[in-house]
Amino acid sequence: MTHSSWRDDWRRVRAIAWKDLTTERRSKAGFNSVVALGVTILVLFGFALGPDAAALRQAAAGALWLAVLFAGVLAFNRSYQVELETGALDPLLLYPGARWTIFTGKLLANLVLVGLLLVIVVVVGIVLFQVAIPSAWPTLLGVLALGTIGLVALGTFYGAMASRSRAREVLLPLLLFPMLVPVLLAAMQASRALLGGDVMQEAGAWIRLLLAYDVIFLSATHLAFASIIEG
Amino acid sequence: MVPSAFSKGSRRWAIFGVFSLTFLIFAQVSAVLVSPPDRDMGHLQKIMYVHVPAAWTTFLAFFVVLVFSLLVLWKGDETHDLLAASAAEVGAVFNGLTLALGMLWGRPTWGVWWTWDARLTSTLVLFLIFVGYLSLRAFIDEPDRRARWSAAVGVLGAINVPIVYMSVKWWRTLHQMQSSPSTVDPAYVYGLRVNAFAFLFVLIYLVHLRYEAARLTRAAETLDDAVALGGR
Amino acid sequence: MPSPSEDADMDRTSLNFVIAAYTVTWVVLGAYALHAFTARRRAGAQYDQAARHSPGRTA
Repeated sequence: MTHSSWRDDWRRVRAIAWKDLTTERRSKAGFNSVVALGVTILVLFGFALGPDAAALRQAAAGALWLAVLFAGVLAFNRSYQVELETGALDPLLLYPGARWTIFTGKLLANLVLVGLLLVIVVVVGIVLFQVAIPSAWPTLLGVLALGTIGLVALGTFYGAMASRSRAREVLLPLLLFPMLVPVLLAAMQASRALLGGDVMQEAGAWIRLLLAYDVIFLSATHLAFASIIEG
Repeated sequence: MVPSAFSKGSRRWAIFGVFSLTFLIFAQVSAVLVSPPDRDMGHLQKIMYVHVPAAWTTFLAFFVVLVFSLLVLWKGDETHDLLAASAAEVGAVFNGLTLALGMLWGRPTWGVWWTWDARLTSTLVLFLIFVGYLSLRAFIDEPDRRARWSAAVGVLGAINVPIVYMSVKWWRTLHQMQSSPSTVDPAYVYGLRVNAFAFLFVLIYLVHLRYEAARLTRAAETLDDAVALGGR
Repeated sequence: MPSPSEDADMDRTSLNFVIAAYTVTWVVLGAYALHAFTARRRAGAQYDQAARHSPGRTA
């Protein structure tokens, strides 16, 4: 591929990501509700697991990731909503250029949104679940980033199908959650290990699993996107 | 009256169906009669003759889904899609059977119906992935779109199986060594092997039945469309 | 060491589980095969119906 065609692809990716984020910023209500839902789920987990502080601290990592997952599903379904409601998907497909640029653009926009959601949920969770910030917090940030990438890659991909089918509310979680088992398991275990000081030195293995998962599914979803976005 | 395009070889398939059923009965009776009670497990060993072949055929069926889903993405042939869907449905049935039989073995052996071990858990996750696959198909009416979307879901699901297995294995492991003829007492090899073939024949026959039904339905829809678009 | 009566008890329990397993196998496979046969017959009838109404394609 030539240099300039890569630049064109990148420009398309940026344009789509920027369009999605601008739409989201103009209609603040949508994203705000998603964040509010994430925090609400955290509070409910507190009721289910608390009020014993030690039990809460032990379960914090799992509760944080599930809160992000459940709230994130709404973001993935919303991701294609605007195009579907305005019938803008077909013109989008008519533009020249590779299909995967649409996917990458939406993926980047969702990464920003879910990343923001994650940051807010984590800050609230640290307070509510009385978590002490560990000394290895840069590694923990890496785990959060890798977990979010895996979550968003598959969420954006399955959202493209579910949001254009009947019964999208149930279909997206039904397709997405079993697929996310490795990323959730790895992210939860790595986060929990790091929050506890990683005495067993197990976080490294989970981080490698997260890396492998992200690479495999970023490639697979990019390859398969062209055949699911048309028609 | 079955149209000629579909009746071709249907006699042979009927014979194969009867043969599969007979062979399944023969395999189970002979395995149960031949095998002595196990030293540790007693009669419970006999559950393995249905549990292990069911698990093997499940994985085989999902492998067929992977192969034909890839073919759909590559060539876009509708018959490949119908075959993948048939294999997915039969595979899900065998998958459910595997889980039920595993519980019936685990309860008297381990004292629990369920344990979060790697193979058990990843088999359950596999089941959920393919329930999702079948639900997706049920929610899309347009055949071309259904083919491409479910092919993508089938391929991603199959890629995920080893990753799920690895992750759950790291998470927690307590399970006996994998049951394959090489690690099992030779007295039981016969029972496992003959039942594996019996299950394989049943799998092939059931997939064939589902595939035929799917093709007939599609052909009927195509004819109806042709009539609606400009028939007499 | 377990007494002979305990041994026989355990034997009977495990035999019950074996019988349950084989019953489950046959019920599941039988029910699914029945479903497959019915669906196959219905699809055949649907095809014949469509073929009868379609111009030039009547068998």
